[in-house]
Amino acid sequence: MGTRISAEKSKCIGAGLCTIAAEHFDLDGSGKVVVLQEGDVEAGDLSLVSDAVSMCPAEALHLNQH
Amino acid sequence: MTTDTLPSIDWMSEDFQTDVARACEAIAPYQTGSGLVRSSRGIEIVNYDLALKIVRDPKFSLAMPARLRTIGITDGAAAHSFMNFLFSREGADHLRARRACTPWFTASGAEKLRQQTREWVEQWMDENRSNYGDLDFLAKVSNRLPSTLFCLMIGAPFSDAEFIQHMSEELMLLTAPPMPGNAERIEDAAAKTRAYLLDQAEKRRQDPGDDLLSHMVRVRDTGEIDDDDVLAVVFNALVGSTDTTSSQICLNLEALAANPDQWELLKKEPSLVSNAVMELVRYNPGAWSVQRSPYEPMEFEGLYITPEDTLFPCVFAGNNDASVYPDPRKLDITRELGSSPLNFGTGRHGCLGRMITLMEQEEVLLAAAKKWKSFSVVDSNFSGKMFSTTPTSFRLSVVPESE
Repeated sequence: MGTRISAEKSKCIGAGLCTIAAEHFDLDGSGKVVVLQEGDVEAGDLSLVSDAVSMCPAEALHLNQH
Repeated sequence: MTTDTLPSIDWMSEDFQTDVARACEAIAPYQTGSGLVRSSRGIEIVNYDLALKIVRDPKFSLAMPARLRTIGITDGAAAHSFMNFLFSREGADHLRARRACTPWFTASGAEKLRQQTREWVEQWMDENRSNYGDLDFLAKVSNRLPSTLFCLMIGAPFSDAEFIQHMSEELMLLTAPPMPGNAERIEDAAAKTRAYLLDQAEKRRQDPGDDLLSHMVRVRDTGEIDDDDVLAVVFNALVGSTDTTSSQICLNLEALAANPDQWELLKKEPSLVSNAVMELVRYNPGAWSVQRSPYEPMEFEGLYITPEDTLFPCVFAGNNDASVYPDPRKLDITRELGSSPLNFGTGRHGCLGRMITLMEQEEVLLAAAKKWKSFSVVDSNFSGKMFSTTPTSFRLSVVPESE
């Protein structure tokens, strides 16, 4: 079982809190979220990515287990 | 390049102490090129892209030591509280505290407060109908709302709202131009606020509720966070709770009063309110600038800067940067903003109360659009220009909709 990030770009307000997980999130030229890595989040990154997802004030990010 | 080679502005001149419109006109020539100017207070960042870049950059702090030093605060409750601030923290210390409080500051957290906010604003507007000829909007609504909402958020009695409002105003002097006496006022307010919040935390521990402070205390009692973490959040939230939102609420109305076509459009189409608020905060920001300092000496845009340097990303300038927002001094509540206005920052230290203040501003406009036919500004005064403004008076003359 793995965990993947999904982003609802339409909800993104460009708050950029997610960039605390700098390996996984950035903001594009229009200030909206970009998910930097496809595929499963590595176990070692999961805690920080989970924080980034939960701290999004727009609730635009999700972690999905599959 | 050194700061001496930068063009200079006088932030205390009339150009920058009148209103946002005049300040934008004065700064416009400097927004192309490097976007850097110098002033007696530090290095001014005057275009959108550079301001956004520095606000996001983890190599820069919010310059808390520099702010405290400028005002003459070196120790005591104020120094401790502001260095413990959520926005003064980095890394694990920052994450631990911010993670603990997050559910209250998300979009859905703000939505839970919307109905109560709406009821209060409509009730206060109705209660003051007899004063509509000369309505002290600052006292009756715009100071009252965020401070009362803060009481709700921490489970405190609503009768504490005036104390919250006063403390917020006093503590926000840290972001104001340094004046004699400010250090003593900030120290007094910090000591009182700290004592108040610790007392409220103990009350919530004895009699917990479904509020932010009860939640933080519960988490503290598990050992996951400590008292300093609790204070880092609630002290930060209190400081930013009232003064900033109150100022923006007043400025929003001032802009709509000066642009009656936009007011009429909002009345006709209240569904535009979310976009209207974002356009209004862009057009007439309460916070004219924020502060940053580098953690380490570094080269920045060709300048060598050190932790002794204070940089001022100018929100008013970036928000009115014509390369990002065409015809920026035109208020257009239907404007497709694209890039987010700079008011709330971005990155790890983005405004904690962003979703809540936006909700409050929306509800004030919705209530006004519903209950007022038209209005004009009788008196309007804000202190703190070029820093974070504080409304010192804001009175309206209102023509109500017929009941």
